[in-house]
Amino acid sequence: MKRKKILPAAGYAAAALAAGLVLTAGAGEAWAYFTTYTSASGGYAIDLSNETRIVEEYSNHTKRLVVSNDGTRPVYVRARAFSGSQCALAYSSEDGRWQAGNDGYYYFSEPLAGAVAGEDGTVSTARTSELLVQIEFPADAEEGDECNVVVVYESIPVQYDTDGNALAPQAADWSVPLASGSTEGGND
Amino acid sequence: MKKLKKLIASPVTTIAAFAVAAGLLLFSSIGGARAALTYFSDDYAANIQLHEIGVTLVENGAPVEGELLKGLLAEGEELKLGKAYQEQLNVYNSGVINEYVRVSIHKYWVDREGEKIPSLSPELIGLNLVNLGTDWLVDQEATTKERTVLYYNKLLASQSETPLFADKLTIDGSIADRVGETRETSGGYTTITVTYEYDGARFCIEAKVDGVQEHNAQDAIWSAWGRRVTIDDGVLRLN
Repeated sequence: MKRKKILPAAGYAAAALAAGLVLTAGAGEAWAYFTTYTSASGGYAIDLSNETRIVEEYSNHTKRLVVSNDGTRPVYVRARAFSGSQCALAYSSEDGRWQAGNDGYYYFSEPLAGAVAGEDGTVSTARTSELLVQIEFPADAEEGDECNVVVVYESIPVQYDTDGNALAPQAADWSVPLASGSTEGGND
Repeated sequence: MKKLKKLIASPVTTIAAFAVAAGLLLFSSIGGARAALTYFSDDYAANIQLHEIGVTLVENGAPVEGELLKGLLAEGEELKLGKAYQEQLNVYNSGVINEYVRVSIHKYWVDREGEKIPSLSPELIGLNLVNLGTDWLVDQEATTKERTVLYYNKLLASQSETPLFADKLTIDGSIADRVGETRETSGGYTTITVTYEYDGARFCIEAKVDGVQEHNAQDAIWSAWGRRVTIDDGVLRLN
């Protein structure tokens, strides 16, 4: 008879113990450290596309040069003419917006804005004023003498200081060599 | 009622209950064993989020969720290479318990389809980090050209903010120096067409902020972030 009383009590205890063990079996995982996180990301596309077009006309021993920017980004423009030693070159511009640099180049004095598409689909393209390069033949030149003049034009994207102000064309860094080939990118 | 008492008091019921309990216990152990089998990384042993612990990334004084750099440019404004844009970043403890925090910053380039371009340099995405050494520690072990991991070296009290860890963003103007080039001669003219490698590429910055509990923080950081640190008087040092 005693056994009858003891057994249920022992059973309850064992069952309670088992239930407790079951309930606390996952406690190890539940006690993992409290952590949290948040994240955000963003960025912008880079537009470097620029395409300049050169119109060059020649008359009266004078080359008339105009550069237009067909791209969407503003650019700086500079030009320089080369000739043989017998022919001197004289530069000028009617509005004075082409200015001589210390390096023999003539700089258009302001950034040439990018092309803008209007609502009607027309594209407005910015152009420089005319740069005149007059070829001065030597005094003893004879009929039929030739003078070969080559004009070099360059354009680079507008550069800004840390405050976002565009640098003057002559203050921009034109000396940086353009690099091609692969660079070492990120790895993780 | 008597029948119920008799049933409960019967040895058969007791033994059956015991057997069920033992079975439950056994299966719970199997669950644990299965969990152990999927454990393969030291970095993230457990990652449980509770509302009592919270962390918020703050950009230029405003909490940010999901999208970063939203207000960097005004409507219609073009990004200017070389300009230092204000990009002030810090961390706010939005939970009710104190915590230690770290920030992981990823910088990279993607193409128009959103695919990462590993050949373009993340170093040209200049996020200027500040308060290094004094408030934020750079984890050199975890830092690469693309990723920088910073640890705030103090306990961040609930509802308080860290000092800034970044203040400016500049895209290096030298990205305009990376080109491909083609030459075409026609009618006495030679046209040199330059294609910019970075043209059309999109720079991306990701910032992930992690927080971990103050209590037993050394072990918590090791367990949750896989990094050995020493915390002495609330000051965190990287080992």
